Amino acid sequence: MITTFIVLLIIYITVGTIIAIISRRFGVKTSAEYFVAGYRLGGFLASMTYAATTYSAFMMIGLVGYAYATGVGALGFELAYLLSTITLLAILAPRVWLMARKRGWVSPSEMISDLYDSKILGMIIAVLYLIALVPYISAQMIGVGSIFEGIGVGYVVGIIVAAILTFMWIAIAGIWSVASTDTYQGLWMILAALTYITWLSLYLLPTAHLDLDKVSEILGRTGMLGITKFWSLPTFIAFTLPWLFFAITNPQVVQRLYMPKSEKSLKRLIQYFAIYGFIYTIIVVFVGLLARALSESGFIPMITNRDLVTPALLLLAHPLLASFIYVSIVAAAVSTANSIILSVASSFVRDFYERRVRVINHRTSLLISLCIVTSLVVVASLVAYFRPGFIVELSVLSSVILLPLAPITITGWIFEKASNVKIEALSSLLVGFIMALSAAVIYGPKRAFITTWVGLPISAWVLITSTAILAAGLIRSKLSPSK
Amino acid sequence: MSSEHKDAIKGVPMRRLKYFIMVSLIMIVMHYLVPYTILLNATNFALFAYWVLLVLFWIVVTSIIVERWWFK
Repeated sequence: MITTFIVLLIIYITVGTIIAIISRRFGVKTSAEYFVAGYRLGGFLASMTYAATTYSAFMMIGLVGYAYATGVGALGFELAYLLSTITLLAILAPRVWLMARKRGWVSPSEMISDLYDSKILGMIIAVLYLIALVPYISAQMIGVGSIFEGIGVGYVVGIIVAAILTFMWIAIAGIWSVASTDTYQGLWMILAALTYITWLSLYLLPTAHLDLDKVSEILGRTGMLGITKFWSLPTFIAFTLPWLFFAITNPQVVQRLYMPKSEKSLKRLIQYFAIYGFIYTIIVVFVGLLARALSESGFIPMITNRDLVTPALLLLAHPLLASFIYVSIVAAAVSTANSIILSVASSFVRDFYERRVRVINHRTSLLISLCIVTSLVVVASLVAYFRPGFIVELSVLSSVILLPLAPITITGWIFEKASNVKIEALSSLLVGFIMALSAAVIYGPKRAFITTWVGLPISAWVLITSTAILAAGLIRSKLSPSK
Repeated sequence: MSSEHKDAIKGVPMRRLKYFIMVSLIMIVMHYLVPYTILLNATNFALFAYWVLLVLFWIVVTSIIVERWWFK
């Protein structure tokens, strides 16, 4: 198993690095080219980098486990994200794409800063990204380390491999190498998922003397096909609400809306991503449900730690198949981590350097980018190495911490110039952020996520409060939407 | 901004956009409402199929809208 895994890993790294090196031919001289591909990404590349960035190691480990432990509600949770995202993209992406070109946006924090005509807002958002997303990057590295540990290669080796790959595939050609390796990794991920479900359905189920009717009967009997106790309505809302707005609060995906080279490419981004997300989500949830049926039928033992469902299933697979799927999880983690790091770096380069100097030295910009990327990779790796328990929990809360960005981002996009409400935008952001962070400190990040106040999860209160503050500002200033 | 881009922004029929937003909100409400009322205690793949078909339908609708109507 170890040998097969290492061989496949070497193939994955070698092919990825060759792709990254080839992507250098697109040329990177300015920060716009380094971070947003000079606004000339093709539709397929744009959609695949969007998908690979969005779908992290959580899918094959976390979501499979949720489906196994909590039933079909896990599908509703993940599909709520997809439903909302394609809606938001269809409505807002064309406007954002046009404005990004017109105003030369490179980073999402710079975008807010420009929309509200407030430099301080951009700088605060850059710091906010750092606080919310470093735990998330570390969680990806912990995921890779855990896979290496489980296979017997060693946790630290996993962290080192993840760190080197993350850094290397950014450093080679910025977003060009990230997007092209994301495409490659996205294909690896979906192929592995398809192979996984095919093996489960055509080999493992018949071996266990099960078919779909029996699976339905077993899962139906145990209540896994309805709404289980876990997915009470407040919990379902708590899980889904931050994800409904993920497409407009997370910098790594917002930034990807600037990049398509044409309207046609933007359309392809939305369409291909929707198809990819739909197939990937269904497969992953179905794997979890089938695994549960296998446990209920006594073919495999009940798995108490839901993060171990995929590793437990893969113990039954041929080493080549298991390694193929494990490498796809490494790919999911790396493609998410490097996209976030590049996006956070772009915020610091734009808001702390380029927008503060009269003449931009592009060499200096790229040097600063490289320093920030290096620092972020080192910090995330160190955090992953020490594996403090609260980091994984905090990564769960990152979407809630970023939630106050939703009202100010949507308002900015609709009004195009909202400098009249910059004070309210700043207050809305800070109050929402403080609420989310205070809840994390008081309850602990994991509990804060599902704790309710007056029947509503904290994420809903964060959103309501931030929106109310901004709405008050809009009423005061009597802004009218830009047509 | 190029004239093509300006036309693209102006070309978005606001009335249709309002309808699209209204239907989108209905879809999102349906995503929550039906499972927590009608399909709460499903004992077969009905809830699974409901969510899958709802999102598939919306992907098809959105793709057609994005392809044919958006920017025109």
